[in-house]
Parts: sequence; C-alpha cells; structure tokens
Amino acid sequence: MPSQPTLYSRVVRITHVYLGPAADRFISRQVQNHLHKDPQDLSQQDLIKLIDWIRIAVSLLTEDSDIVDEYVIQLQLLTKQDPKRVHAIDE
Amino acid sequence: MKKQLNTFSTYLILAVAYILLNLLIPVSKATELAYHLNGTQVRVLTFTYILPILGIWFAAFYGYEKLRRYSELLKKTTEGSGFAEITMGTKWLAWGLPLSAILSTILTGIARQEPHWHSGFIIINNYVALLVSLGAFTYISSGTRRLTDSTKLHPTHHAVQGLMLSFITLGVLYSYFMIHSSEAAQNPFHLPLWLILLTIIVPYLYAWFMGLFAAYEISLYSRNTKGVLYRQALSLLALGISAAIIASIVIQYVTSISPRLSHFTLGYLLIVIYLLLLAYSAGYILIAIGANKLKKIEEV
Repeated sequence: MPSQPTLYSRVVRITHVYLGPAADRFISRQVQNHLHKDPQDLSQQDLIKLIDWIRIAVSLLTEDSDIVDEYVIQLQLLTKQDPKRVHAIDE
Repeated sequence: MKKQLNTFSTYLILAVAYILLNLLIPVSKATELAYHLNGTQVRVLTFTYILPILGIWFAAFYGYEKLRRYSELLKKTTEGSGFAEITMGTKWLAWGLPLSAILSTILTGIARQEPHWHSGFIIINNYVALLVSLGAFTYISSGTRRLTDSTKLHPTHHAVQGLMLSFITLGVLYSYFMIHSSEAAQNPFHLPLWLILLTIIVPYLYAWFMGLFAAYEISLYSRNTKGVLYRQALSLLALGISAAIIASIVIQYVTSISPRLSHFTLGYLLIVIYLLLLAYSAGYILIAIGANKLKKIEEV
C-alpha cells in the first residue's frame, strides 16, 4: 500500500502552485526559522502558526492580495482535517 | 558582499582606465581633418559617447551582480547548475564590453604611432570580440539546456522551424556581406577569404545559433515552470537574458558588416548602435529586477 503524504509534503504541494521549484525550500525555511523545528516534524498543531508566517512572507513577495488569500485558503483546508487521522497518517 | 564590492570596484577600475586612455591617447589627425575640429573639440566629442557607454557597462555589471547573488543561493538545488552557467555567460557578456573596448582603444593608440601594426591590431580586435561571443553564448546555452532538461521540456516543432528559418536568413546574409567585404579593394578584416570563412563566419554563426537557441530555451522554461509568483519573476529574468542575447547578436552583426553600410551616414549608424546598446542595457536591467525578485523568494 502506498504511504500517505506527510503534512509537510502536503503543504509543499500547495505551495508549489505559487512558488514552483522554490516551494520546498520556502516551506522548509519557514518551519525552521519560525517554528524552530525540523520540517518533517511539522504537526497539525503547528499549522495555524505556520500559515500566519506564510501569509506575512508571501505578502512581501507580491502586492496581489487575491493570490495571497487564495494560497492561505488552500493551506487552511489542511487545518480542517481530523488531527487524529492526520497524525496517524503522518506516523 | 565581498564579491559585490569586487564586481563594482572592477567596474570602476575599468571605467576610469577607459576614460584615462581616451584622455591620454593622441587624437587622430585624420579625424581632426575629416571633421574640421581641433584636438580639444575631438576630445569633447569623444566624451559625449563615452558617458553613455559607461552607463551601459554599469547596467551590464549591475545585472550580472544581481544574477550572481541569486545563483549563489541555488548552489545545492536542482536548478542551481543551470543558473550558475547562465550567470557565467552573462559575466562574459558584461566583462566583454569594457575589456574589448579598452583593448581596442590601446591598440588604436599604438597603431597611430606605429601604423604598420594597424592590420594586426584589427585582426586581434576581431578575434577578441569573437572569443567573448563564443564564451558567453556557450555558457548561457549550456545553462538553459540544463534547465529545460531538468523539467523535461522540448522545443515545439513550429519553434524549431521558426528558429531555423531566422537563423538561415541571418547566416546567409551575414556570409554574403562578409564575403563581399573581403573582396573589396580595402579588405576590412585584413585576412584571406578562407580564414574569414573558417575562423570568423563559422564560429560567429555557431555562437549566434547557440545564443538564439538559449534565448528560446530560457523563455520556454519560464513559460512552463510551475508557480504563479515564481513564474512572474522568472519571466522578467528570461526576457532580460533574451534581450541581452539578441541585442548582443545584432550589435556584433551590424559591427561586422559595417564596412558594407558605408553609404549610410555616420550619424545614422551611431543612432542604430546606440538604440541597440540601449536594448542591451534594458535587458540587463530586466535581469537585475527578475533576479532580485527570485532572490527574495529564496530569502523570506
């Protein structure tokens, strides 16, 4: 059975739509610099804080608020998933 | 930071050297007689074209430095090697401008004192310009190929047809102008036809083909890369690189066939050259803006 993607890889996949090849490096940097964690240890509890930091960072890259809002909404969908299920998948 | 200082201090050294050379080298008597000017008036006129040239060099160095700083951030990434080679190519293009201009000024100055060296110096100038073109386009082309290979992108059939048609037209006309120039009473290249064909026309056409193909590949890569924000920044960079390559090719083309354009007035030719140099600088400014935006993505 194929293994389920980690929370980190799901965040990167969403980010890829906006930052292309720089997505992985971007998310890794946000997690390490602001959450002081290893990217692979990203948990459901970290998501809201991470999304806040991502919003700030992406707002520095573009003045197009529609793109920022759309990106954040996509990320927020991840927070609505069952934490227990996500945790089980991550493990 | 140290590298940036190096780039800009190198620019300053080259700019001051060029100004000093133009001040110190004796004015050509032929120019004074042809335009009915005295030595001071010729020097004042010289400075009216030196200042815009220094501005163009600055744009090229600035664009290169911004791209270099972005490439440094990508060292360990998939696209890192491609961008490193493109940066090296833009370095050749940027540095080629002052180095060939300074060399040409020195050699022209010596030839005024030692006229028997004149032909040899023209040959050296022509080969230095060719070497810069070959080095720059080889690196840029290799870099853009790495980028398109990494994303498994291939040129479309129509694009290849369009490129071939443009290139064949460019190449045939270039060969025609060069061969006719070499057969004139005053051969401007001071070389026999077989050497012009094998060591100037063939290498230039090879370099230009690589340059044009690289311009196409970088634009293909920028249009097909994922990431809305990344693509916006990359498209500026790609447009800048394409503009610098195309302007550079057209400048080399016009400069090479300029003996065949003697029926145009000097003023008209200078306007064309300045417009091309402006397009070249605009290309480097776009490279700087695009590289800055991409660098920001890697830093926030």
